Amino acid sequence: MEAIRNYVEALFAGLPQRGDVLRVKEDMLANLEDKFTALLDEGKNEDEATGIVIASIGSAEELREELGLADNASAPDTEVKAPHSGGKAVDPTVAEEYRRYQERKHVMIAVAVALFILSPFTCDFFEETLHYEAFGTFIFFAMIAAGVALCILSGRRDDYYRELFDLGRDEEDTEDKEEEREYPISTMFSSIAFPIAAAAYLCIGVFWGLWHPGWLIFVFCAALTAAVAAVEHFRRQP
Amino acid sequence: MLGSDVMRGYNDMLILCLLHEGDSYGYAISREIERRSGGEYPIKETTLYSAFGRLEKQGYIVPYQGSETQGRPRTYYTITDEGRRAYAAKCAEWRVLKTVVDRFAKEDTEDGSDS
Repeated sequence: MEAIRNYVEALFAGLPQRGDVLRVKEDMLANLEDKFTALLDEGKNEDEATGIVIASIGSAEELREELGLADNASAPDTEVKAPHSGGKAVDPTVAEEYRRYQERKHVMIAVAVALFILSPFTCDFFEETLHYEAFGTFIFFAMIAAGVALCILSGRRDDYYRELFDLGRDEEDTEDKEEEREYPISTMFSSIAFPIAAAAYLCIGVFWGLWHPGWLIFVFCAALTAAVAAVEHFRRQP
Repeated sequence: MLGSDVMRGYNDMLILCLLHEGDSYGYAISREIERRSGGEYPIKETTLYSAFGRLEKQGYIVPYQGSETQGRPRTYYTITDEGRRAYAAKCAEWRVLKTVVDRFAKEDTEDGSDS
């Protein structure tokens, strides 16, 4: 029941703590408890019952939509406990801020990849149409530098939030329970894969001039990241 | 299995229908919806409880605290006269919708039998 309660708390953490929202939460918790007890009476063990109950709850997005809060960022006063935080209180505004940070991060990475892909073409453009080779090369390196800077900047507050939410456990912890660690392999994968892809793209481009089919490496990389995320998601299902 | 997007717009009707038959509370309603749909529509809790809030605001249902044996007191809901009217209107709307959609839902059978 503890896991269910944490899940529900987390679900409501990003929402304004208005009276009607809190009523929905309380109501939901009371009835989920009934459901949980009923499942235990049917002979399910605690883990099974927890899995079934949590699967039936629905997602945070659905909840927002249903409550008509879709794009409503508010500044609630009450503090709620965040998921996995072991009792540490996290302000819902922080949760909201985190969501926006994630969005911004994805945009930054997308722009960086676009810069990598486009850089050789601007080089050609300046050389062939403006006959200004040195400037083209300069723009080429400037774009790559900007792309790399974006990649680095996009992740600069990861640690801050991770610590805040206590998402990734410390080293000792992860060694102990490799299976249970909270923090997504897909994120780590993409943070490694994309810089490697960028390096490979530059190498095959500079040395063999294969800029054209070479850019597909990013598409491949994105597909691979999605696949890893999907496998991860699948394995997490109870 | 029916998804929540398909059932959108009819969740309120299902809840009003059950409350029409008698006062009830969250878990009993969700269990009954799943049972009567033959397991085809396990309603999500998020959908159910936000529907309660919406229906209450519209004045279709009224909550009250039931005295419950174990644990927390449960919130029961009862349907209002306005709720009954809304339910009747929804049923009428459904009958129209059903006949209209039916007229566009014969593709399969005709394709199979014609050839």
